[in-house]
Amino acid sequence: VTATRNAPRFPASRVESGTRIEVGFLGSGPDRSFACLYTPREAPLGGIVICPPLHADFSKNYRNEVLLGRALSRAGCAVLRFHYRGQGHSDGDGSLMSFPSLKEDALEAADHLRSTTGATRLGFVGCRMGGLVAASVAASYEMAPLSLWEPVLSVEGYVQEAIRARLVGDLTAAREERASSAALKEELYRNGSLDVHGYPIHLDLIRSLEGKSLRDELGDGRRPIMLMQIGRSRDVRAEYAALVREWSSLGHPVTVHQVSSEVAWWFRGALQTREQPEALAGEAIARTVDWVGAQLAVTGVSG
Amino acid sequence: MRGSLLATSRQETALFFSAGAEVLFGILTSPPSEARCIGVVVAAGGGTPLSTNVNGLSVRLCRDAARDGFHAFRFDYHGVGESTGTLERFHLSEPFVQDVVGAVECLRDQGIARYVLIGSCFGARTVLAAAPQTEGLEGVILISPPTRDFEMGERISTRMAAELGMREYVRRAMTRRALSSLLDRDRRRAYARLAREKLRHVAGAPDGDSEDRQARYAMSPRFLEPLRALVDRRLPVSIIYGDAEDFYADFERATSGTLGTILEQGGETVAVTTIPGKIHGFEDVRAQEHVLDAITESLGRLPRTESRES
Repeated sequence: VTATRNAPRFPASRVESGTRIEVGFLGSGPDRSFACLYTPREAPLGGIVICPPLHADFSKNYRNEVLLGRALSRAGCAVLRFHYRGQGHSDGDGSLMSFPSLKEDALEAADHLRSTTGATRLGFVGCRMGGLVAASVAASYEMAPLSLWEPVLSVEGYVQEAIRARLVGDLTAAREERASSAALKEELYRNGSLDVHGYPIHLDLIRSLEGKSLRDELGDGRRPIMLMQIGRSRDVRAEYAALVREWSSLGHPVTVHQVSSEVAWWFRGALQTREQPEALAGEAIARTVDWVGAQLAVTGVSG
Repeated sequence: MRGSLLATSRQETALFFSAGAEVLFGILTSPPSEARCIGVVVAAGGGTPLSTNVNGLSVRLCRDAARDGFHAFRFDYHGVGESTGTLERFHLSEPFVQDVVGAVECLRDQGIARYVLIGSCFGARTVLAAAPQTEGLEGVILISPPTRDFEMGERISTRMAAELGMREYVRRAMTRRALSSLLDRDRRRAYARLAREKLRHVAGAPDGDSEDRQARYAMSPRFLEPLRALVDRRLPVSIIYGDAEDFYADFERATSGTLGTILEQGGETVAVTTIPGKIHGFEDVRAQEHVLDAITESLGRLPRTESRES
């Protein structure tokens, strides 16, 4: 495997444990995406695109994704992490984010990863709403392994979680004006956005995600899937268990990992104990690296 | 005076730089038009310590500042975001001064020799601690700076310990709501934390003037002393609070003591601005906009002169 030498490289770089880490912006259009590329010293086993979550989840999972990128590259994978346009360091207006724009950004990231590292076999990791994006993009790559961290199953559930988080926030902040769940939903539809702990949830994004499901986005192609449930429950949650059954019946080899920890996804900082103890990051990352490595070691078909 | 061009990633350079033993990550935004040759360094708070900040607030701040002619630099602390290292804790008595020093050095390497330091909450205390030793400093902007020293997560328990008497603690603990919530494990832990903090406060009463006790429950010398140093140098300091947040109440209370004297000495060089509601943690979008406006205004007040160090 050889890197395409003519592909543009990012301007800032450093080397860590033999991995070259480069950061910069992707894209030739008016709005560019921030990205971080990890290239191992040896020819990569494959390339992994990490699709981040949205809103408060984005900040919450940021460091985990950085550590995952480093760990995957140490294990021999080329990795690309990126920020969607409208989020993080990327250009763009958050109110213009939509499911198609999220997919476009992930596809551009995958193209860049292939063109700069020469990796022919790609895999995808997605956390929370990033899982839906990862699944949708993985559908374009035959047999691409897909690792999902605590994936969001429907936008309706996502909005419901956001509203619940806002209600709890209002309660704990002892705000005088406390709205009901129905009133907050109405606010989202009336104003076109809902403010949840400083993150605006835009109606256009929500509408673009309506009707999307992991099952449908994944397409018909058979591929290995790892679903990681993060929570205190000893059992696999019913909705995940149903999805795993469905995927298995369609012929996807599915692995379920459970990481016993609690992450308050919509809430930010300021707690007594760190919300994501190192143990959670360590276990989630180690399992993902092992699983991805095992999938890429199997002779696969290039996308 | 604002330039008409908006800054985007086209004006941005991602950089890795050294801070102590770690390699930190930052993004420098350059002005798209006329440059003032002043670098604005932005340090995030502990709640969302990333260089993007909550909802990309620091990204917007840097691009706004660049539009106004400043070079602006946002960075990840050690152990955060794209930087190397491990983060142990955020304690206000241990600000990450080395990280800010590294960020300033990074700007110096880019040919920028004059600086404004901006920080929020933990970041405000960090830039305040770094300010007196920063050569070429043109001003400091502090957003919701805590005036006491505590670890992230202890804000409420330390405030309650200082403000409420033992009788009030017992009265609150005996309410039906408090008793029934003892069944919940997390609530039990929270109450135990409050009780421990009160006992610590009470147990320390006989030597009530010790510096640590003062710093934890009243006013930290680590807030006062660097502020005094800046005032002595006649450097512009802008302090921004939400008028409904407890940090502002702490600040207000402290103005009856040494803080008041320092502010008086500072005269017009120290501007205290309040924004309606709470801005600490940037927990709503409207507050974020108000903070950005207040920062723009503070930056706009900086004299358009040659370096004050020259």
